[in-house]
Amino acid sequence: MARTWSVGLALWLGANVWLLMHQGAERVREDRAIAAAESLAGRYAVLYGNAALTPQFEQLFALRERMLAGSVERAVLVVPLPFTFWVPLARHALFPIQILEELPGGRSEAQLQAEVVRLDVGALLRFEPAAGWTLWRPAGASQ
Amino acid sequence: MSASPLPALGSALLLTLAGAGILRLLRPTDRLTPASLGLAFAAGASWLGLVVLAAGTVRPWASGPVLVGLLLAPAAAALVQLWWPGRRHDLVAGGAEQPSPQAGRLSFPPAGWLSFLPALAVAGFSMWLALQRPVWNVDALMRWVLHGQWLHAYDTVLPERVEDPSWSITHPSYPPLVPGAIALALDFGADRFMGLRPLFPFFFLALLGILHGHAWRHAGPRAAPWLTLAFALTPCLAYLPQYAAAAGGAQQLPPAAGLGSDEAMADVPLALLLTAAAVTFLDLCAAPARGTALLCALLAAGAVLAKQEGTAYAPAMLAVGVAAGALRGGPGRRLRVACGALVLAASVAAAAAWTALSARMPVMPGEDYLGSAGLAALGDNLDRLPVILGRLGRELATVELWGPLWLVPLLWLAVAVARRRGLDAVSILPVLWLLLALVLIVVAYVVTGWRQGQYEWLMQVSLTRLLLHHAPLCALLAAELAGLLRRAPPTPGPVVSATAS
Repeated sequence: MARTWSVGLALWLGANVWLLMHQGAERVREDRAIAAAESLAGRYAVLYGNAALTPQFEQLFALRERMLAGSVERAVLVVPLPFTFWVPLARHALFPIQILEELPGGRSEAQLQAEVVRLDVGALLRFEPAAGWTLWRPAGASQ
Repeated sequence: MSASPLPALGSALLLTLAGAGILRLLRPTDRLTPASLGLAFAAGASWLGLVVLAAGTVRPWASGPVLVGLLLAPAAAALVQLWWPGRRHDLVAGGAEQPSPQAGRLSFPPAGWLSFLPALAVAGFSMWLALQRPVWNVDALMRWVLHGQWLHAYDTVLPERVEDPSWSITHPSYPPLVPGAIALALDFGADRFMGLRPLFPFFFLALLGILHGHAWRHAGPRAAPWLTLAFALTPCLAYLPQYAAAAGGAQQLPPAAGLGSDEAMADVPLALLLTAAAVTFLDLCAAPARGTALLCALLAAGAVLAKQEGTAYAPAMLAVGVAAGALRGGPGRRLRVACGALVLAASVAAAAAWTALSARMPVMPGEDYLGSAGLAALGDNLDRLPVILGRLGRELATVELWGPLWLVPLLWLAVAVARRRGLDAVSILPVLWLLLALVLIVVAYVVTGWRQGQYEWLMQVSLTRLLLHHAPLCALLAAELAGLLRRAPPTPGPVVSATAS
């Protein structure tokens, strides 16, 4: 009976090794590509499978520094629906700037202005596929 | 801030030191084995969870230097005890006192460590993966890491500024242990993008150490390395990322989002703490002792504070354990039940304390599982059951994610019934705990109001992770299966006094 157990264990181990060879190799290939990307922005771009995103990641990280330098404590994100992957990343990357709300894209300037007034925030961070990230600080904002 | 893994390494070392001190005070041993170091890391993490919990009420407690000081305190106390080693006594079965094993010179049993090398290699592979990529999983970014950033910046994991309902999307009421570990690494100067992931393979390594010790005692020294390795290579635990689903072509795997033990998530930490509590509880049933009970109570509280699933599951698991301990007769029954009740009380107290402290934090609509709305939904949504059970069955049979892991409980039951052994109330506990876990998982999907009740979508993105918390029970059963198949009944001792591991 002990031999039965050993054979079972060998089969279990063998199956997992086989799966590692077939599935894990994909991960290792991708991790090498990520490691090869030079900047943090480049690594995120590889993770999201789109090298064209690199400058937009760089914009986001640079905007954080600008906001911190300008003593901005709270912001609103405006991100169109197909690009909502930015939301968790921005919440984490921009800390300690608080992201108070996420708004879908496609809003007019007047609507955005109204949101900024309603939420009483110092900045509105907007993503557009063509222009990347832009920071809008309304005149007379409280922060 | 540093992108190097050293701050994470320092945090892991500090947690292990704290836990080693606690272990030294509660269950002294002179052997440093993979199992005892795994338990030490788990105990240190649990201690950190309690410290951060306390910081919910006394804010300055969670500042970096105070956290480090409170983690070093048990290690210092153990050192003092090592230098003045008066005779200690422990309460054992039957109510008699007997001397605890006094540690002399610490030793590293080479056979145990050599046998652990294959598992160590897998954890090393996991560490290598962790060093390549930044934190990028949605749950890691918006929950665990963000909460760690709060704790690091505001000295509390429950800052007033996130009480606004618009913050509910980040789940501020999630338990504090993993954010505590992240904040500790940030206190040591870790980079928030590249420096945090290297902390997480240590939870995996500690889990493997504990499983190795259990396998050593139940399946024997020859089988222990291979059994531990087989579990360590379970695809969704070792390496499988989300994009394997996208690249899957005709055969679509569930999106096991962020799985792999190197992601900054709470799933592997919860699996570690539940396993540590389970193994220690089984020890407690075999040889009831005050020190073991206190250690188990600490680990159970850690499981409660690791993830909200642990908050619900750990007390239920321990209630089943206490009932099983009461059903088993023989000498020491009273002490066994008393020790079990202490452990259960600790888990309930931790759950109640965190629930009370985090009550003012906003919760996403439809995700108040433990509240009255969640319980009321149970009766209304029973029509979901066939879909949920079908999806659960398919998940358990998905070899690409789990290998043959979920066959183990079935084989264990078949052998136990056929040989009429191992069916007493305590021996069958791992199977009962597994059944309890499956029931709670099903109930969670029945009551969920996630995204207006899209439970099928929720299963798609979370079921693998929920099962991961309980997967190590299969490895415990696999080790015990070897004992069941032996002619003579096995007579294992407690984990820290095992000969080599």
